[in-house]
Amino acid sequence: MTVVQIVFYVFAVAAVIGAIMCITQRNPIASAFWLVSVLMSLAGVFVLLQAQFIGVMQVLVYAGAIMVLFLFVIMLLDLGGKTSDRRGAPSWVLAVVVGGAITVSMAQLADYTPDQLAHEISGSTELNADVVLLEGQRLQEAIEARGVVGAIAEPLFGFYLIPFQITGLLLLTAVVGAVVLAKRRI
Amino acid sequence: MNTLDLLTPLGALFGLLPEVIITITACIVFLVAGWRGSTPAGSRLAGWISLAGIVLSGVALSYLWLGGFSPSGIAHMVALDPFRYASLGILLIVVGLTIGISLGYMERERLLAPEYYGLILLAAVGMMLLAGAVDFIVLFLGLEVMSVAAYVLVAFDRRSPASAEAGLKYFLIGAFASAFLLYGIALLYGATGTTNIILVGVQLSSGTASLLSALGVGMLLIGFAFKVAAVPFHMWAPDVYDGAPTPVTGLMATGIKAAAFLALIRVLMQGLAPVEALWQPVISTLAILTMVIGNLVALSQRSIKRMLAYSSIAHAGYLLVAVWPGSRLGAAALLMYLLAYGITTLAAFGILAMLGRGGERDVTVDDIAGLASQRPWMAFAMAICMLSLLGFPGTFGFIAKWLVLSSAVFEGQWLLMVVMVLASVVSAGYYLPVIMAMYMRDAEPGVTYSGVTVWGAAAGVVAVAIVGIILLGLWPPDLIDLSMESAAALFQRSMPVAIQ
Repeated sequence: MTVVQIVFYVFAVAAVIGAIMCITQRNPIASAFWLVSVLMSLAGVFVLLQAQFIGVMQVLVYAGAIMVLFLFVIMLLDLGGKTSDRRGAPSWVLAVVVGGAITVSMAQLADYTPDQLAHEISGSTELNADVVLLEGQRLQEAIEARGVVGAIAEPLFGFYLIPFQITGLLLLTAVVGAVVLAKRRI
Repeated sequence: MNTLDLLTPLGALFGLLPEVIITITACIVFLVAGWRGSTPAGSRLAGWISLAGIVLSGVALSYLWLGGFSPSGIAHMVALDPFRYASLGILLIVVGLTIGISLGYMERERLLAPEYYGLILLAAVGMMLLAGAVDFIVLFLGLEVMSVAAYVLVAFDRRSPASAEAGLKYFLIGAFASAFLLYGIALLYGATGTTNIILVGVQLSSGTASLLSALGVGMLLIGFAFKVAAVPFHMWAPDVYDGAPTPVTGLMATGIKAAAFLALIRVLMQGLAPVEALWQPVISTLAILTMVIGNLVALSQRSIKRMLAYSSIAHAGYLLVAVWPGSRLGAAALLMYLLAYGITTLAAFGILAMLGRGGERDVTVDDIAGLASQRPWMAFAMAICMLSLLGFPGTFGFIAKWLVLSSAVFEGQWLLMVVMVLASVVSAGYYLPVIMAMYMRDAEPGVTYSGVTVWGAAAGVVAVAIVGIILLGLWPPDLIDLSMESAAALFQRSMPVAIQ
């Protein structure tokens, strides 16, 4: 086991434990803090995947800005003290059945190697290199030529220009909608 | 034949000109909202500006359509083919009619915020992007723009608890459905390595259907089924349609449903055609359940608004029958049906808006007894709408339903055909009582229909729709040819090319 693998497992286990804690905590503020730990661990995984820029953005935007918003909302709405008592027996039974079924079906994947898995689940023996987007070797070349940020910026403002603009439109819609719903008088 | 390269900024601007014009109009409407505030004059001005934007967008659309613009190379992000142009045409008509109905309605209901029209336009942009997308990223973003605007529109009448409840329900269910759709898209991306719908088709045809792509297709279908309110994913629809302001209900039952269906058929024909065996059983099951349950539950409704809500669920079932064969005739029938169903339903909601007050939730079949003697034209228009929804010969609804039926029969799908005919017979049980109440019963003593308000824009919308229903019902061949030509675009197989 190499150092990278050891570091990966540390982050991966931390992420999974954080996610479980996040959804099992009764106090929403505690849940929010566990979510921060999940996002931090994921940032570590991104860095291991050579995606330093996305890792940094993950910490800045998600673990930083968005989590602060979450906490503000929870505290403003004063949800901290109250806990929900609506988790009765039926929902636990359902959760165990569904979770068990998913675990059993995933257990079948235990002795697969990553390559085997990729080939089998994607159906074809080999991905058609002409039609898939930048990956592997070509991504490495792009990073070497333009740096980590440049390799993201160029497709974002070139190939994906139209979706990028529509994202702006989506934010405009959400802002106007929120203002309309919150206005004193309509 | 003109070609456009959507990878260049100028090409993208031209290819998306109808959407860009509507977006700019929406921004102008928001400026009007800031300038005039929530006044009757401001609301009216915003409404007419929005209509002008729709007309201008229609001009841009006909420029693209008549110019026969097509993409250079493979379609990128947004399709440039007659099917997209036909889809946009249907959506613009539906949105234009909705704005026409809203013009007097919002004033009467004292909902004066001009932002209403801006949100309708943004929803329209979302629908157009959703219907025209050839890339799953654009498809999802279009769906979200449409949905976010729709959540707010449903809850627009904040003083009414029903409207607020409908908004919250629609938001929660809608977010849930979007998550399914997004998960499906991610799984398909994992299976094929691309988000371009045409290239997904190329990848899927080169191998056998795998576990990952099957899961992706399933999630995708669940997401779409929520959006078009197909049984068993329809639970939210009656309450939401009932609580929303009536013009918004009209838009949801027509425009939003149409956009989701147009995107669904493009994904199934262009991307998932190689795995037909995976989705055809799902679609036919959904179609049968939706037709049977939608029609049976509609039978027991007394409120006209709720009856129309269940009827729109039933119509989603008929539309799924047109999706099932995966043929050119099916796609053409879908276009025709969406247009016929769209203008008829909006006319019916327009008349309902004129009949009632305070959201029209309590207008029942008994309340319109004897309408024909007091308001003969309104009763006539309502009767034509009901007959067209029923698929009565001589109306546009009949032509569309007949096309859907023949698309199923040509593929030898007798079960769907039989269920659809029986379901249509059942639907007479709730469409005809409306006509009978208006023409064959006397008004309750003392009822003079003095509360009925008719405003010019909505009367114009209903008149245009009724003339359209009758004319196209009597002389449909040109429109059928046009829809067949447009549908052919979905079946042109293109060769894979390298993308940078």
